[in-house]
Amino acid sequence: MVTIDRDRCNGCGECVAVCPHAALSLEGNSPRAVLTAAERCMECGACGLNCPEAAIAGNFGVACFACMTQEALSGKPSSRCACAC
Amino acid sequence: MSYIYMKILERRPARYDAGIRRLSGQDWPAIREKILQGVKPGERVLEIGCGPGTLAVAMARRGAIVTALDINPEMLTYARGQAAEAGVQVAFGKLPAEELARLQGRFDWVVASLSFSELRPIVRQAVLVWLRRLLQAGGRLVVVDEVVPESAGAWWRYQLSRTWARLITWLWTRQSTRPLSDFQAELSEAGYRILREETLAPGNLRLWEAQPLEPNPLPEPAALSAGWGLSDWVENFFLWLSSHLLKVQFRPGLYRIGRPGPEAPLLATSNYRLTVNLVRKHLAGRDAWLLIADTRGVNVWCSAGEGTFSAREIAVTLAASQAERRLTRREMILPKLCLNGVNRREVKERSGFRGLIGPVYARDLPAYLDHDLEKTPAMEQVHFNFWDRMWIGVPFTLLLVLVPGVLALGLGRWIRPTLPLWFALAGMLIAASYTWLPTRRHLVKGLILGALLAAGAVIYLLQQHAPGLSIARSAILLLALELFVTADFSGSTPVSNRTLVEQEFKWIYITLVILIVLYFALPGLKEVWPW
Repeated sequence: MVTIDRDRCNGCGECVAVCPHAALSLEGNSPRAVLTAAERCMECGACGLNCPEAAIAGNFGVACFACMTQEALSGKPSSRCACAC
Repeated sequence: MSYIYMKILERRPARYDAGIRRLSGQDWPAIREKILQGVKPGERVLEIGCGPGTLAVAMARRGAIVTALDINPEMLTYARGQAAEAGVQVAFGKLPAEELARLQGRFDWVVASLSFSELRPIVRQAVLVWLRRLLQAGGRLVVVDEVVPESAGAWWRYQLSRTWARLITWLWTRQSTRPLSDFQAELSEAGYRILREETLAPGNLRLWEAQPLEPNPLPEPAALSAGWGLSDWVENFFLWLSSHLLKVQFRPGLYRIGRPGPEAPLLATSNYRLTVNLVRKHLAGRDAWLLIADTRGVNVWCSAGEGTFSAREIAVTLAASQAERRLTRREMILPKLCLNGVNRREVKERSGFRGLIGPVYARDLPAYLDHDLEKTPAMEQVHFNFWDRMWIGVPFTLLLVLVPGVLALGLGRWIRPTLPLWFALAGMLIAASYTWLPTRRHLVKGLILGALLAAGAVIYLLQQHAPGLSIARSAILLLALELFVTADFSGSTPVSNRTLVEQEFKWIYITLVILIVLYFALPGLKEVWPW
């Protein structure tokens, strides 16, 4: 789940601009980023990586069952996918 | 050298020199003399990839002021010990080659012994470009490295003797060795003049001494075909079919499409050949620059997720291709789906280029470029409609069918020829219905579709008057198959959520184990519980 630290957020809108699922938007009088469509969020991490205030945290990464299987079998995080997808 | 052997040696700094001597059959003290012969007391030397520091210490003993870099901390610790033992001052530092742009200073000599062959070609090119700035006027670069022999006889001997080492290396590390094959061309591409080139006996080790050319000539940029024809369609069709199986690479670097001037738009993409082709197709007939980053043949989004498509990689590619000398506009259009790996501020810091957020899909590039880089909401978002799902689902299913298909050829007696068909059905079922199912949980999706698949099989088998036991076992097997295939599809979609998949990961395997146990226990169950 993506969480946004409202005190750190400066309302620049970078996260809104980078999100490929339009899951974030700026809201309020002094605009702050809000996760408005959590049902579309995949935690790809674009918002967290590009946030200039490091205000966005989440369990970022690929949602790949095959990669997780590989990690569970080898016991170490697989930085490279085995598949060609 | 064999990469794996190098890696083993690199974990044992104390034995590194002896190991290299044995492996190469070379007289390394004599080779070190050759490198050292021009270095005078008081001159400033930079060594790239210093390893155990033997050469750095030898140069410091001669009175040179030595800076020595490596990425291996164990090597650096050992090297510091060697320098202390010899009572000389060497400035050791940990710095990966990709970060060499950060190094400050001016040097009379830059020395690299057996380190260029450990770098990817695009990184080698960037390093050569960065070294120009680090070399004093009149400064020299000395490189000693393994090469692929040129003469036919030596080439064959070399390839035969290396095959086994390559195979073992690849099986162990999934990496292959990269001895230099045309380093002279790489040197001249980066604007160096070769002063001395020497083949060191017995033939696959070479020494180059080179100097930056002044003024620095700018080589012609590589060109991508600006047209799009039948052969491109055919190539793309096969690339698409094999997209879940093969990582087909394209040579990274800066390419021109058409006749772009220094003000023409610059776009960035990954070096998966299918991706490059699609971008090229949609830019056909235009004048533009295309920066192809070395993402190891993986598409934009996956490579960004893996960390191979990054601000650092973009900076390396820009430096290697000397983009800042060809382009006056300090802007670059990034594919929107690279932003989970590419930090826009970091792109600016590292390269001076401002990263603009381009559209998600290459097909939207013409409209984006024609409307002053304005995006419609549709260009901003990932779509996963039926045809998108078929685009991903068909090659996904093809890979699924391949496994039982190959098994069925070899194990025809045990595996029914219809098995690949069930795999195909399972794959296409999830691809077709992925977003129609009212849940994001793959466990639930898989069980719903599995139940459908099993119900179909039950109806078919009842009509065939099959025995009850085999009907039940088939149903269980198909349920398990569909569940597994559904879970496997999660990584191929652009919509599944990481936390959700992590949560259900365990439960999917538990369900699979229960189903498989049930499958094998069913005949036995019938005896104790005869229904």
